This record gives sequence, structure tokens and C-alpha cells, in this order.
Amino acid sequence: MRYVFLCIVIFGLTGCEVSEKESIYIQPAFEDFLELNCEARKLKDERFTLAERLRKDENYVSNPDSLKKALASQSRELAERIRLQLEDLTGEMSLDQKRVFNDSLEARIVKMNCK
Amino acid sequence: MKRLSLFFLLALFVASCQNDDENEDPISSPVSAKARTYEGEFLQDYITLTCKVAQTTDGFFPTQAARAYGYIGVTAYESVVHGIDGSYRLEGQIDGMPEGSIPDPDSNLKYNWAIACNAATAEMMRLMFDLNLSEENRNEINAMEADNLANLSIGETQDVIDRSKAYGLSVAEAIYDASTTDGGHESYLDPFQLPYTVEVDDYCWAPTDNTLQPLSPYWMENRSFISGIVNSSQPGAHVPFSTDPSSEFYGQAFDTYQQVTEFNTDEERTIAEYWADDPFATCTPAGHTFNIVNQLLGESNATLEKTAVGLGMMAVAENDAFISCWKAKYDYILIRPVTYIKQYIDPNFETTIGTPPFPAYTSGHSAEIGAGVKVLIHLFTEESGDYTFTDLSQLQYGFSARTYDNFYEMADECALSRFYGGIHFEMDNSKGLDLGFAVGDAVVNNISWPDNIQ
Repeated sequence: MRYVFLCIVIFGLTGCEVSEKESIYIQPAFEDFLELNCEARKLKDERFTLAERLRKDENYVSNPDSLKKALASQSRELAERIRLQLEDLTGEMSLDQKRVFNDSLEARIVKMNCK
Repeated sequence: MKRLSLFFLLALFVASCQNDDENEDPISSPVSAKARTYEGEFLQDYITLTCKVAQTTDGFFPTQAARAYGYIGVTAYESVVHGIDGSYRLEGQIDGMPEGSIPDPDSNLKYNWAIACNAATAEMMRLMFDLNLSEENRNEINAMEADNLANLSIGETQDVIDRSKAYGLSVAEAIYDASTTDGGHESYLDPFQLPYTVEVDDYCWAPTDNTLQPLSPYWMENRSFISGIVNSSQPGAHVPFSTDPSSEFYGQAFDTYQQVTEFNTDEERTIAEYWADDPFATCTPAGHTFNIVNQLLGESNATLEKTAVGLGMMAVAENDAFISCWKAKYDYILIRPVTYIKQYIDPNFETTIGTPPFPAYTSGHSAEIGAGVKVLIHLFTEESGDYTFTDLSQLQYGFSARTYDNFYEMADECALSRFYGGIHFEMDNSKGLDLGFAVGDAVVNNISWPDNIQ
């Protein structure tokens, strides 16, 4: 009987832990994080597209340096927000949990089609 | 027989005494709390900030950034070395810092190594970016230093705080003095080291975009941390230059051409961009590798001890890998694939990513990651390099995080990314990795570092 009770307690605790871990993926903070990542991907594509166009035609824009600087600055500001949110969301996670987090993030971002 | 036995006994006694000496803690201070009793997070935060400062400070290209990270890491290590059991200071072990050049703490007095490290690291950051450091970045460094100091001072006497801070500053100043004679001092003011006459020949590097001068042509003359490493890690000659379609050189160029125009998959293009360390938003290849070691130190809950050792090792590796790689680059001044391919294979060829403005042989990314993974292997795993981790450092710049099961696998991918990008020949990458491995091995084996760090 004592063992049954012990099993129930362990099962209960483990169950709670799992649901707590999973709950992160329905928190508003995770949704915000997804949006920021989506924005970061768009900016990354813009940076690479601009770099490629400038490689092909250096007169593609009249003032490429200022455009580059503006894009870089925008990207860095966003990067800092993402870094801090990532720390908040995953700071206490184990490596395995981080991997699950990353997989979930990636799956959701793919669905968002961040173009 | 008796005499012989006596001799053996004596020899045994001498040997055991010697052994005791070797095991004895060489320098650590007996009255201060050990570095492993402090958390390493505040030091890891400085590396994160260094990435931002390197990104936003004029004149910090891959060579200049590797040097800045190098001196910051060495300073962090040297400021806490007296708080690490069984440790050896870099002073006397690396070039430019002979015995007696860095101040000693008073072994009879108490120090807080975290406070010393905080002061030393912040000061070296200010000094490394010095003349081009923006007000905003200077304020961020100052604010981080002040916040850390407030946290680390809790429970300490003012006497210990002042002494530790002063000691950290004295270490930073001594190392900075050494740095002023290494050949790279304030190189951010003139990263292209003009004047430099670009040699003109069929095999030679030529501008690949509107940057007409190659980066840091005299970087090879900088003093490395490890004595003699630049010469001993050289890769030897590349495949002989030829424009003959049946030659090995032409074959290497054709392989790059075919990879970009026919074989690159979406995944390979992603890999090329991932390791390109990004147009306009990069903290350079050395910064990427520092971000990785920083992340892994954080994930393993590394104390100040392990964080300082890890960053110190990486600092030597990255600084020296770049000097050695740049020697190869300017010894051979080899043409970039895009120039060769346009001239001899296809005039309409376009690379996947931008070609940086310096010669091809050997690849800088391959060299630095080769050196870096040797340090990572030493810090986190066994010789096989098996270690599963997810590089989250590029997530913030809009990339999917990438997961690896082995450090060598990561290094291979980084090197190959330059091939997928169309900006290197295969030999640039394989020989670059070899060069980097040689530097990394020397960091691990030629310098005495503490064992059993936490």
C-alpha cells in the first residue's frame, strides 16, 4: 500500500513537472519570442539580399553605407531583445529541455512562414 | 650492495621530494577564497558585450577583433590565476609577458578574485577599443562593471574590495603595456595597414569588390602569444597554380564552381550564410567562436575558475590562429576562386556569399574554428570531440539554431561553409583546419593550464 502511495506521489510530481515544462509553449512570452524571431529572419534576409545586390551592382542604391548601417543597427537592437528573452525563457532549462524548446521554436517559425 | 641500496633510497627520496614540489600549488593565494567559489556568469556577460562592442566599433575586422578578444581573455585569466589551485600564470609562458612583468598580489592579504577580474576585464575592454570606443559602448562597459561590483561586494570589507579592484586594474595595465609592442596596437585605426602594394600576377589576389586593398597585410608580423607557433603551424605550399584545365588547381576551382552553380542544396546555402558571420551584423568569426564557448560555459554552470580558464585558452587560440593564418595568406597571396573562375571558367559566376577582401589560402574561418575546437574539446569532452550541443548564438540574427554531436563535426561544417559559399578552394579549408588544429594543440599542450577546473 505504501509503495502504491509512493508511486502516486512520484507520478503526480513528474506529471506536474512535465505540464509545467510544456506550459512554456503556450505562454504569451513564447508567442512574443516567436514574433521577434520571425522579424529577425526577415531582417537577415534583407541583409543578405542587399549584400548580394550590392555585389552584383555597387550602384544599386545611392548611399549603400547608410542603408547597411541602418539595417545593421535595426538587426542589433532586435538581436539584443531576442538574446534577453531567450535567457529568460531558457535560462533554467536543462540541455535536453533546450533542445525540445529549440525544436518547438523552429517548427512554429516554419509554420509562420516569415518572409 | 649496501651502497647501491643506499643510492636507490636516496634517489627515491629525492624523486619523491621533487614530486611533492611539482604537485604543490605553484601560485595560488592561501588566504583568499578560491575562484571556483564565485559564479562565472558576470565574466560571460563581458564576452557577450564584447561581441556588441566589436560589431559597433569602427576598424574591428576579423584580425583586429581576434586580437581584442585575445587580450581580454588573457587578462580575465591572469586576474584570477592566483585564486585557482594548481594553476600557472601566463606570465613567463607566453611571448611578450616575461616573468615579473605582471604584478603579484600580496600572498598575506585577502583578495576577492571576482572583483579583481571584474575590474581587469572592464579596463581591458576599454583599452582594446579605446580611441574608437563610442560613448554608448563605454557607458555600457562602465555600467556592467558598476553593477557587477555592487553584486560582488556584498559581504566584503571595503579594504578587500579596494585592494582587489586595484590589483585587477594593475594586471590589466601591465598586460595592456605588453600589448602595445605586439605589432597590432591600435591597428583598428588603420586595419588595411596602408601603404601596401598589391602584387600583380596571374596567381595573385585581386580585389573582388570595391575594396581595393587587402585587409591587414602585415598582420603576420604581430607577436603571437605562443612562441614560434606562427612558423610551426604553417600549412606548406598550396596546389601549384595553373590555368591548364587538366591541372589540379583548375580542378579545385572547378569544384568550387560546380558546387555553387549545380550542387548547393538549400541546406548548404543556409550553412554558407550561417557561418558567413553575416553582412554588416557580425562580431567576426572569432566572436562567433567566443559566443559558443561562452554559451557552453554558461550551460555547464562554469564557475569563475572554469570561465576564466576557458576564455584564457580561447583567447590565445584565436589570436594566434589569426596571426598564423594571415602569414599563410600573405606568403602565398593566392587568388580567390571568384577571380579565377570568372577569368578561366565562367565570366558570369557569382558566389553564394560575399568574398572578403584578402587572399584565399588559407581560410580564416577554418583556421580559427580549428584552433577553437581543440580548446572546446579540452574543456568539455574527451579526445573524440563527442559533445551534443545547440549553437544558439546566431538565433538572435535570424538563423535557425544548429545542433552538433561532435566538435570536429562543427569545425568541418564551418570550413565547408566557405566552399559552399564559393569563396574558397577546398585546399584553403582543409589546410586552414590543419593550421588551426596545430595552433589549438599548442594552446592545450605547450602552455601549463590548471587541471580539474570547475
